[in-house]
Amino acid sequence: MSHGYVAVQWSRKKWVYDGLVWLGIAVFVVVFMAVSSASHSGLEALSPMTLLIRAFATCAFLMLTLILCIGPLARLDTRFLPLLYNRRHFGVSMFVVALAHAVLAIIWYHSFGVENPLVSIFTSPGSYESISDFPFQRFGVFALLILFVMAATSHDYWNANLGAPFWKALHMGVYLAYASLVVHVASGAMLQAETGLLTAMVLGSVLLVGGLHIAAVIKSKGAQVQCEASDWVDVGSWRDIPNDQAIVVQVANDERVAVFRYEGHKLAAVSNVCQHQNGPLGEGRVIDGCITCPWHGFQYRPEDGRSPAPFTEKIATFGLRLDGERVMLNSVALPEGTARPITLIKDLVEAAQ
Amino acid sequence: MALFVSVYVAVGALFAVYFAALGYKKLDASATGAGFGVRLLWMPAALALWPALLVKLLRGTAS
Repeated sequence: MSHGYVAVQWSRKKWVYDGLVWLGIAVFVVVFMAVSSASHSGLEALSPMTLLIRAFATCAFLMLTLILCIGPLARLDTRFLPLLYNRRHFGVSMFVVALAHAVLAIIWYHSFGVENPLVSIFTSPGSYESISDFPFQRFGVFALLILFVMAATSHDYWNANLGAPFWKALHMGVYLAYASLVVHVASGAMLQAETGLLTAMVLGSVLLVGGLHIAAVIKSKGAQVQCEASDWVDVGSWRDIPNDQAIVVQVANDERVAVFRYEGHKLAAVSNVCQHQNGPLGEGRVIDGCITCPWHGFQYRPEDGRSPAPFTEKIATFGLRLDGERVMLNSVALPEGTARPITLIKDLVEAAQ
Repeated sequence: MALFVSVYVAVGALFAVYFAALGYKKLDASATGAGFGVRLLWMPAALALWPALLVKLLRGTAS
């Protein structure tokens, strides 16, 4: 969080996550090269460099597809949340693989002429009106530039100093990069492919990413409790709130409030927006007594909305009271970091057991 | 176009060196004392976004 800056706040989970990502990359590249090599023999044999370029390209595209699926998957099913916690490292790893593909492709296809290889990508003949002569490389470069800026600004320092709205807008560029990559593959490698495998991969990726995003939007719209303009609003029965998790309530001024149940018998309401990157706190869990953002693990105490020392982030808190089994939320936000009495439902929980 | 990109990257590279040495703490005083490794990590972003960062630094100095 904001207390001092280090390159990476390593934890055992991050080591395991990164280890698995890079092991997966290595296994994918080796298997891809072995299978491609075995299926192209004799006159059709491919050079190791061509195989490596294709392996990195396919790996990076599939990684980007997975990255774009993680967010909606975690919204649809909380079992996917562990994938979300270190998505940033997954993204940077994907950029490194994409960069390896780009560097090797530029060396292999553009460095044997008289012109600067980087310049030749943009000056080599091509027509946007021709399918067979479409300058697909330019779309790859455009996507790579977006991914570079995203990887370069992925550290917390940039989020803090570029401002969360600008930072988030910058990182929403991933969808532009993805669209550009789909054009890059569809107008390049896909046209030259001997089998329909690549077409199936790209189509499957687009359908998966699009479908999961639509499903997640539909689910989140259905799950949110819509409230009228009123100080106290009924958010539902305490039984509807899973232990160590929250339900999200949208109050009249479009503000979203996360109502958590934790330790089985305690209720607390806080703003749904994480101070770090506006992550959805209501989709996180209570871990070690703290509300933990599903995006990057920022934590807040339920009782006052403050990050545990030495961190200093604060979020708005909200009052709660009980009306029988119904949980009533005061929709007027208290100042960030305000402590208020925690609503206890021990008697209700015991009576229900 | 190639000349513009070359100039942008060259100025960005110089700015990134300045930023990793001094600019980072002018932009964020709480970053003072950040290690060499993390400042090295910030250099690519400084290179890419140098016009925006330069404006931020100049505004900060002016105020």
